[in-house]
Amino acid sequence: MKQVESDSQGKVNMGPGTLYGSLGRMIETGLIRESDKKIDPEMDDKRRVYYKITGLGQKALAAELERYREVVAVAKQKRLSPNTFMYSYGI
Amino acid sequence: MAYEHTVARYRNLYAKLLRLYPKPYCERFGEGMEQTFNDLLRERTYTESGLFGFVLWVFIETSAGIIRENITFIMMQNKNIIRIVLATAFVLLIPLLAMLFTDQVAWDLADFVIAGTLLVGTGLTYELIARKSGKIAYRAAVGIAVAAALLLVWMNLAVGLIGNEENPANLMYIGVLAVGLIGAIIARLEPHGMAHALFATALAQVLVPVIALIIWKPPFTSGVVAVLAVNAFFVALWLVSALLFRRAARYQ
Repeated sequence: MKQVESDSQGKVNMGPGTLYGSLGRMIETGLIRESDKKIDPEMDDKRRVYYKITGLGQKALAAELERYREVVAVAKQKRLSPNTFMYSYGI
Repeated sequence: MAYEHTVARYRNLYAKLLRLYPKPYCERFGEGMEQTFNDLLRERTYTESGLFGFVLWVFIETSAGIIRENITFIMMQNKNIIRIVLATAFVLLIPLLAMLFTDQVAWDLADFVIAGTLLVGTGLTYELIARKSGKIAYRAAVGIAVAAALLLVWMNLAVGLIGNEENPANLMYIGVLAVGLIGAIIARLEPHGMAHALFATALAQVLVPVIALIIWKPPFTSGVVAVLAVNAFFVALWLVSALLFRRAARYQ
């Protein structure tokens, strides 16, 4: 949750309800799975559960990022990016 | 001191809130969510920043999650019921189509109704019991037990395990199922109790051919061997189910 908040520069705030709901859906669809690998044995706590992205998850992530790239490319092509909009209207 | 009481009360309230999640979800993630909340609460306590506002936000956010997961769970249950009915219809198509091509299969309306009722009943029973736990061992145990019960009833109605289907000895198998059912009720479907119930069912299964041999004293033919073998198969199914329930209880 802290990582998401940090990566999004505070724009996305996620609580336990959203986090675990997302985890549950990703596990159901096979995008992630529980992992035995401990990142930092010194931080280890037997209650801590680690998750790992699956091959299917990697493919889904790559496909989603490609989709975003295509959308941004189309927006740039049609000059729909915010900077272009502001320039056109003299803002 | 009052502050610590407040924090403890928030923790208790959050633990109670989590119980509103569907049971399989609660079993899987409840402990983690509770721990996450406690960790966040501890950090807020150290920094002494806006505890009430933070707790309120987490409670609202979790409540939204509870509503979402319960809706998903209910939709999934209905989807499962539709799947059970469709699967039953598909299975019943087999004898229906067979009757178009051969005289060996001759089902009347009552046969279709009984078979359909058994299949739908088995599917719904599985859904009803398996939702008690999200654990794979528990669900597998329920699946095997329910499938074994269906097979036992089906085989007895069709051909009879001992002799033919009209042999009164086959009525003893009602007792086998009754042992399982009563055991499940007493256990309240908890895995530890269900393991005992299934072990008792296996024992009842063993006793049926033994009692039949004692009462009717048939000659020891290949037919008797076949009866013992089929009963051993069902005993194995009940035992596998019992062991899976025991495994589920161990990891509860």
